[in-house]
Amino acid sequence: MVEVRNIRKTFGETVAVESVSFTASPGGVFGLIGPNGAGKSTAIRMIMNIFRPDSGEVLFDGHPITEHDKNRIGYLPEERGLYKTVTVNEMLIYLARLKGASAAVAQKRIDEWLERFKLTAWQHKKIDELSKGMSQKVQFIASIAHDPEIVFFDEPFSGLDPVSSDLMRDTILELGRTNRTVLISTHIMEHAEKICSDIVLIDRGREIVSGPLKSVKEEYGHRSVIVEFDGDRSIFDTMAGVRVIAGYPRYVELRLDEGLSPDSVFTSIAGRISVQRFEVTTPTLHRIFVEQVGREAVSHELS
Amino acid sequence: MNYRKLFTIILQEFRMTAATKSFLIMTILGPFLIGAIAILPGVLAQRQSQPSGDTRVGIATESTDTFSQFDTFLADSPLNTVRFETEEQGRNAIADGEIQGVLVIPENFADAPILRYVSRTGTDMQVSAMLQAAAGTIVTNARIADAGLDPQRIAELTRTPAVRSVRLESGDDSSGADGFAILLTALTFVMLIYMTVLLYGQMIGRSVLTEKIVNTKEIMLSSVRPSELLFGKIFGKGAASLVQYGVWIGIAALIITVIGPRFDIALPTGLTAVNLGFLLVFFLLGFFLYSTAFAAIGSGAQDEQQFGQLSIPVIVFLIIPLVLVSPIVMNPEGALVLGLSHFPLTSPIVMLLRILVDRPVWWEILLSIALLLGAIALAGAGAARIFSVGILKGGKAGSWKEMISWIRQ
Repeated sequence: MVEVRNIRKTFGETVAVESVSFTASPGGVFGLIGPNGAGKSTAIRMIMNIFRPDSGEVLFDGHPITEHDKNRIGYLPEERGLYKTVTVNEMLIYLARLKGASAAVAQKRIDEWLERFKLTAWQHKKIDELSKGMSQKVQFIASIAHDPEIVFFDEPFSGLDPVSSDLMRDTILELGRTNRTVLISTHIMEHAEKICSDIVLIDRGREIVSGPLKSVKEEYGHRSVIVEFDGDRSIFDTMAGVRVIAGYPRYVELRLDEGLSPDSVFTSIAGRISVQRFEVTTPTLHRIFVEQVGREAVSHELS
Repeated sequence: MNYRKLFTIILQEFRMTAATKSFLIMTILGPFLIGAIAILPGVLAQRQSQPSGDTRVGIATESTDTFSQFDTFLADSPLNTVRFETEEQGRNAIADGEIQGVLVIPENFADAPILRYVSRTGTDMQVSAMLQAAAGTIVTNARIADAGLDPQRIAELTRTPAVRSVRLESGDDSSGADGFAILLTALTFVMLIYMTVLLYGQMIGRSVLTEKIVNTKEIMLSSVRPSELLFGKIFGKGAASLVQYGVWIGIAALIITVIGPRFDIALPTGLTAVNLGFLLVFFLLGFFLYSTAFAAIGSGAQDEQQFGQLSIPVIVFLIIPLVLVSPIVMNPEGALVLGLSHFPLTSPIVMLLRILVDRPVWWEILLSIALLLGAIALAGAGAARIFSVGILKGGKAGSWKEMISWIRQ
């Protein structure tokens, strides 16, 4: 289990992370989500003990991280890189040994993972000869070859083709199911939506939304209504308690105020326009992200 | 410090350095260089003292008497003389390859200010020096005889002793060091230290820079402490350099103990086991001092070009002793030399030079080594701090001022 409590990090005048807290437990996939430059990488580096937070703390199973804990963690950094002049196998063994694994045990796992990612033929080739996608997969294997209890994948899907991307997704879900603590960071909401059980959304170093994905969606999303119709679109513009968040001549997406039920909207438009489709939706994480980050941006501008 | 991880890094860095073609080439070429420098001067000196047993030179003179004087004088030399009536005949003989050159004796031999020696190359100094000695003695003897004196008696009275430099410590006069041989050994050692310290230092700096450029830094730092990574690199590459030095010194020892005596080649006087030991000690000290400096530079720079620029102030200190080799050898006890032989950035080379040409008292050597060890400890601690800040730093390169400020972070 990883507990992050109010971590904060500044570089000179710049506040990279203002305050972020969350708890990631074994058995699911935890998503650290935010736009580029939100402070994700700095937060991850603090969790990985590469940076020390100015204040706040990161706890692994209830205690501050020790050097020994580093061996229990697997890390796929966003900035990928491997030594170019060594072979795939040599690199993987080296990194596993730096995590405290014995060469023999690591070799067995490396063989299995290379097989699974269809890289066995490349095992004794130099890293230099790999394509970008292949070296991406090798790096992923490097992060798990020592069989860590806690794994952190920073933007795990970037640079992968759809087939590899699916393989990666299945592997990450499997790691979660086998009772490991799995954290991923991403700015692509579709990925987070597909695999995360819990999320924290951060922007400008601050936590904006957090919790189980299901409840986040319920909290921020049960008042979204999609209407497809024939008729005069302007009736939505004058309707009390209703805001058009996406409008086209025959399609609108509506956000309803607190207390206004979708039923009353349906009642008031019935008969005035010809309704083809009326749907109460949970908004996508993408929508929540855009809205929340946008709102933050506005309040940030005002302050 | 987790020593198991440190050892893993050392091993990997060693392999990545030693298992390369360039390492192999340098290890093999090194002994050739050393061998050339160690053996060639002796061989050349031997060849120079007895140029070639059958060098035929002509003496162009009408006087058989003059010729026989030359012939007698040069009887013990490697030169064989042949008489020609005219210069023309001598020139033809050169063209035919019968003789190497011809000394032209003019009619006014006794008063001639200059004699001409015509030869194929015009540069055979040894031969012309012998001919000059012969002509000089013959003319002088003729003049002395003309003055009614006995040339033999004059020669006895004006005989001068030769002066030869002998090192204080060397008990045996016959093996006394000659300055040229010492200078040669000194130059070899200095070049070797300079090249290897620079090469391995920069290799370590580039290796740190590579962690940044190819982005392995984060995955490394999520597994090990910055200090483990830094010292793993330094010790790993250091071990590779030791292997190289081991091979070189082994070959030098072989030359000293086996090849030299068996083939009766005079070895440069400075090439002794003790001096080779000092070479290794000062190389290691210089290596550790400079490699920590280059590692710090590597963590501050963002690319090769910046690395090169930031390295310049450090390289200058390596070059200073190189430029001063000649003054140091000539005046090894000057104030500047004393200072430079204790200043850590220059002492690896300057103290070694002093040891070679003017063995300093033992405590001076120890003081120099102690100061170097102190400087290495300081530089190591500073480099570890600069490294841990700099390696994660992106954007523009740190200046030296900025990098030093990282030490306090």
